[in-house]
Amino acid sequence: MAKAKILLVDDEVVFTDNMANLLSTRGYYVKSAYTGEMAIKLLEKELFDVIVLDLKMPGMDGITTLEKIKELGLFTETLILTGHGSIDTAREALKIGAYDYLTKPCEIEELEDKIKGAWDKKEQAEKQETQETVRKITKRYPG
Amino acid sequence: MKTDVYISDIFMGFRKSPHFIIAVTSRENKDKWILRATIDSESFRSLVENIPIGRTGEIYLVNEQGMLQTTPRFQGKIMDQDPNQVPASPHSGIKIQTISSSGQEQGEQAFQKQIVATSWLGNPHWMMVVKQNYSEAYREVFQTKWTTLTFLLASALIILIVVLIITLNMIKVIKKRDQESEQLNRQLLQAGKLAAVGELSAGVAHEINNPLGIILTEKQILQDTATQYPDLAGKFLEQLRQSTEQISEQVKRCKHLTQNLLRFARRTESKIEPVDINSFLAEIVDLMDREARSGGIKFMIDFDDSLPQIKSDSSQLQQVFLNLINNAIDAHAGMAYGSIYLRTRLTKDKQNIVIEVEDTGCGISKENLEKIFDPFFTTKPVGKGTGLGLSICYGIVKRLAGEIHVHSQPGKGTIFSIILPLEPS
Repeated sequence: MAKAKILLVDDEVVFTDNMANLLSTRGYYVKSAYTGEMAIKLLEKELFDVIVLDLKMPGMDGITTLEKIKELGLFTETLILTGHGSIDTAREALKIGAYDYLTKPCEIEELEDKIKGAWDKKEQAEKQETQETVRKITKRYPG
Repeated sequence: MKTDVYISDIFMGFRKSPHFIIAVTSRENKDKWILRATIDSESFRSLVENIPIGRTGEIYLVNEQGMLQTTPRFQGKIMDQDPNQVPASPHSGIKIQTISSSGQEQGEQAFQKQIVATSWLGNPHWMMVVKQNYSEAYREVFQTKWTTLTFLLASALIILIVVLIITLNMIKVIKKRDQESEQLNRQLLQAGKLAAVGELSAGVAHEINNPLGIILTEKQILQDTATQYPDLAGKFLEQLRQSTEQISEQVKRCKHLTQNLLRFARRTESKIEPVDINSFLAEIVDLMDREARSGGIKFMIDFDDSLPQIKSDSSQLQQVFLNLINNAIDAHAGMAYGSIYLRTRLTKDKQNIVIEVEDTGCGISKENLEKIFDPFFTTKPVGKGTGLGLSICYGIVKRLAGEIHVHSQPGKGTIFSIILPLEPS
């Protein structure tokens, strides 16, 4: 079974690398970015299904990064994973369009669950979009 | 022609009645005429005697020897020496003097101070004496003076009383304001402290969560790696399983703690929002459980499951309940064990909720019970308590439109009941 392409964005290098290691072991395609800027650069070059994003980062913070991601208009879902238990910031992220949020520390299973949910949502949105396009095309060129 | 006029003093003569003589001498050539008229002075005297001068006044005439020429109204008789001892020394114009007269006058007290006006008539050379009691003569002046004085005094008294009342009231108001502002200041200080603690807690929680996250990933890597080596000793695998389980367990515990800290930190911000009192109290119990357990105290919870959410300020309520529970724990000082009961219920009219914090501690004596909400009242040793906790609680609950009541039995325990409206009006 195919697995999601994941981009991890977190300034905690050890955490990010460990997570990347664990997720790779579980069959995911994973890339890591240690800053928001790095994440955006990567996203401009490569498509990811799910982005796992920390909120509190030096430089471009999570919220700004999320806004930039949304501006790119990609088919991707963002999952917030933060040590900062600020529910308010997490809620703000949800408003901007994050899929869900998790607080550190979390077991790999919890993260996988959420990633799966996010990926499903992204796949569904993509499918819908494809169907919509197909319908538009068939409408325009009937027969 | 030369004419002389002679007027005699009043004398009795052989007529036995007071009379006087007017003689007119006239010389015409060598003849000398004398016209002598004897005048019964009755009507003349009654004219003088009956001039009314108040209640105590009299008017009479005396000659140069001080002999009365008319009968005074009160003392003496015509032809007698003037008993009033008005000096009959000659003077010009009107002389006004005061004398002290003795004797009874219409049954009044002796030694009256009298005002006397005297004036010498030309011919006959008699002195007219007008005499009246000083008090009567000046009665109106005195009365006016007295009235004015009384009025002034009364006014001054009224002003004094009014000023006194206003001042006392102002002092009371200022004192109350002072006390309120003092309490507010303390509350602000307390709120500031709590905010600082909140900020610190949030920072600490975040800083701890990140390493905890790493620990969990490291644990997972360890587990993952172990599965790649199936030939590892069973004993080692068993130990690894146990250890990683413990790591997970302890990390979970830490996460619970940091999340409580973060919740606490959030509640240092003051705002009115929906509060689920049951879960709110459960979190506070969670936060205080360790401290209570170390003192042998157990929390007993009896929450009404149907309790609706209320609109209130959770940061302020947190202050109140942390304070009450801290006090409840302190009330068990010196006891081996005890309990703190927390109960919630809805009032019959469904407009308010009641939260009870009951302890099995030392209780509060009757005389202290009246003072426990007073600022700076404390029974804790110096340096232990500020005496502000309960006064702050009281202020907070009042501001949230609630009530706080206390029942206590020394030696048995204390119940604090807090009534909060579903919505502060």
